[in-house]
Amino acid sequence: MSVVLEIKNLTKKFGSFTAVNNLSLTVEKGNVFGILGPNGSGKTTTLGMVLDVLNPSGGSYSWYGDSQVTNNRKKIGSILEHPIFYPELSGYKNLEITSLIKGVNTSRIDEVLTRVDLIQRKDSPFSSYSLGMKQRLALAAALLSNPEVLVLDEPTNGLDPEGIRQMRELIISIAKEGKTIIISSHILDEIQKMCSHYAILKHGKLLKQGAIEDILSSKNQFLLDSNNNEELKSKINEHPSFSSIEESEGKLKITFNDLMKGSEINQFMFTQGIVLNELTELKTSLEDEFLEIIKK
Amino acid sequence: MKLLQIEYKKIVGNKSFKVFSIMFLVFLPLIAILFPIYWSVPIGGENFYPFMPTSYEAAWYSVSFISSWFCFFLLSFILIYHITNEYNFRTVRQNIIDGQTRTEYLKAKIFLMLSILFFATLYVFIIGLVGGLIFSTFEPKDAGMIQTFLKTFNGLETEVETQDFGVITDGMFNIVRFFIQNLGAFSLAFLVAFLAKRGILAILIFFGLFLSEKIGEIILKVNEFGFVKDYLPTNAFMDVLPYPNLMELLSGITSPDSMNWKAVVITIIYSLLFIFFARLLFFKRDIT
Repeated sequence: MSVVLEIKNLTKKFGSFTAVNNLSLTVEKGNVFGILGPNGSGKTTTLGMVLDVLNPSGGSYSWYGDSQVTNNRKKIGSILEHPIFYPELSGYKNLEITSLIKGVNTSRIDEVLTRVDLIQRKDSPFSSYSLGMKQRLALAAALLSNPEVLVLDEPTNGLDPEGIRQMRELIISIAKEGKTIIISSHILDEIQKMCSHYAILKHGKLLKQGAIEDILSSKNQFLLDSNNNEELKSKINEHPSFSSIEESEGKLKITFNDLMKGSEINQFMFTQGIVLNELTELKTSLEDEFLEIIKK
Repeated sequence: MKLLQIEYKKIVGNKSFKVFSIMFLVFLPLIAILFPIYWSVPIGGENFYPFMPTSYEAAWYSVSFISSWFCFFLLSFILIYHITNEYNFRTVRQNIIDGQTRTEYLKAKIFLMLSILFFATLYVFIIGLVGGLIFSTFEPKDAGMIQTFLKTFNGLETEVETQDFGVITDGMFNIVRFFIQNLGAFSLAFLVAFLAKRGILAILIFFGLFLSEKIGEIILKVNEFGFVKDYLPTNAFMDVLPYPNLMELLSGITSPDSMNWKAVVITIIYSLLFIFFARLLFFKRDIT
């Protein structure tokens, strides 16, 4: 696996306020890397630094471990915060400027405009676009150079449900092409649906990072229900892997220490003389995990 | 060249660019050529054209001098608004995010500044050439009439000789003075725009500096530090292509002084300094 972005001890201070504190991260090729955190946790500031619009107060970063690329990110497609374009120029003319900056042939413009479904409005001035269209134009600009890496900051922010779905499908389809995507969001569901890896920030500090898979399978919880839940409670206590029990809406949420299969539990309960009405394996959502980490 | 192409793509859609450049292209020939030809005062039953240059030398000078004011007011505004608009719309941030390096961004702006300056100089050259050729077709001003005019104006007897219109290259070096003076003015506008980030504020600082140096010059003179004024930036720019003597300008006999090399060197040094400071500022600050 080659390293796409490496951040080492990156720090950003605005006066006495520390927005990003000694942050280290590594993003590898092919990752869809989600940066999570509540508002004001330093997500945008971090991306601003690696995109060279904010000067770090300390630490360093490098793209592909190559100072050439680090200083010249023409091959990286990025959206940071709101879509920004020349308001008086049309969508097409704006992309002409972007393609000149990126050194891309202008023949790509119609192609990316078609992909984000803006081709019909390409000659209208940018200021007449709806927020969803502006957001899609920003994505089109990011895709112009057919980049290997996409950096997206809150790409679905402010979009309506339809817009969010379109944007998400677009991002997933891009991810399937094997591109590396770095995406920041405070919408956990979004990250869970799109990302392979995540990092959680709070007050500019890294709280946790890892693969989404690990989070989702790290807990071993089942929801059980029977005709006699009192007896079920006492019996389950005897299971060697039993960890804890919690009642929710008349059903029992049981956590085990070891990885369990549904059939094992069913078998165990049956030998104890209890017949189950319900046996459901609970997948932890990123949201549960996130809230737990943030609380600490 | 690609960088310059990017800047022109940005600027053509800009309203202030359209307005200011059209004003420059239209009003400059009106004021510099048509006004001297058509504006007259009656002296002794005959029409006297006070602003009509009486030689190529005076023609080049008057066209360059008038143009420099258009440059200060219109073309400097284009530069200031172009740079501050990029902050206003935050497109500077987007350019960098899109992968333009800060050096490229700054270079593009410097190229734009120089290209406006070259274009303006070329245009002024054409106006000077056409103006000179047109002025030379008129009857030479009668020395006696100039004398009468000056006497009614300031009550003094002035020695005036009827001049020969000369050859077209006489005084052409005023174009070079124009170029250097406005290199200074544009570099100042450039720095101020990067410093202020807001169009109106930048323009206030830009003209505030011109004004405060004039006031400073008066205070310095009173305190016998008058020589310091030569080294102040906008005063030095002004010395490159100095104010004409009003009487001489009015009577059309202005004979420009020779090149003020000291002012030229000071202006070029300031220009480089201003661009250097703009660069320093642009690299040091966050682009928000």
